[in-house]
Amino acid sequence: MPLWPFLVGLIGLTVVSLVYLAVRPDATRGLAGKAYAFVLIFLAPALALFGGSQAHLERSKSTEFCLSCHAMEPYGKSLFVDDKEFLAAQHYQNNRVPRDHACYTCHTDYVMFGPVRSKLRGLRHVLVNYFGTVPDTIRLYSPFNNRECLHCHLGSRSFEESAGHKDEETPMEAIKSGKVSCLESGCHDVAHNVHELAEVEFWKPTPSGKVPE
Amino acid sequence: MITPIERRIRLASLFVIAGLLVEAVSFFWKSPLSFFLFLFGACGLAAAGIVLFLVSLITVGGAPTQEPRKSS
Repeated sequence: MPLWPFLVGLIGLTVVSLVYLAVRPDATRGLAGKAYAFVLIFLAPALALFGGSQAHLERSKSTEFCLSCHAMEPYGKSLFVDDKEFLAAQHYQNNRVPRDHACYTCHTDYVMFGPVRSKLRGLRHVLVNYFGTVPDTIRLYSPFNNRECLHCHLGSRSFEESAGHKDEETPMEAIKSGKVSCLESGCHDVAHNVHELAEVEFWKPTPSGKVPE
Repeated sequence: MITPIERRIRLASLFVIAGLLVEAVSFFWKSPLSFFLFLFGACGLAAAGIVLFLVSLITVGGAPTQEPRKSS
């Protein structure tokens, strides 16, 4: 259940009461009136602003929000590529990431204050999109860290028992310690590859969201 | 008769009303810029009202405004 409908209710009640206070400021005389003013001008707005910041931050994690910028359109399209080599598409189509938070799930940092850093990067992206120049080729700020993959895959049977993760060239310890990159070691290096979208086929989800037979 | 603190409370109420209305608008505006509207519009206006209210509590006296006595 989203938070914002409750906040709109709180805002409505507060605004109506504040209009009365603005028309009749003499109602704040006396202890009860002062308490009334304190609740309406301090507590209720502070609560509404705190809740509003949470609601906006939660909304900024949604796939819809990330793809609302024109520059992200090809990346959204890449989630529907019908090719098992495309890592992002496979994660999205097989529910390995929540579809409504697909971008955020892979592109946040799973460390302390990682989500805050992600949101600060997001603010920068919004500013560049509207007031700057979007680069022709969008690159990550730093190489994709194995930590983000291992946040979900570590301990899962398909990861731990995969023959490809245990051979001599890519020992498991090297993967877990980050010495061998999941994405840049040549194993899972096809992520979005938006420059190849003109040459690939796309998955068409059925209305129910299930994979078509 | 309205006291100086009540005049400040009225002004603070108007700032907070404006901030909360801008916040409500930011919820319905489906654009990445809505967060900036919330941050700089809603938070700015409401915070101005809150600060004005708190400052007036400690700086403005509650006595009704009176005409200054003319010294003879």
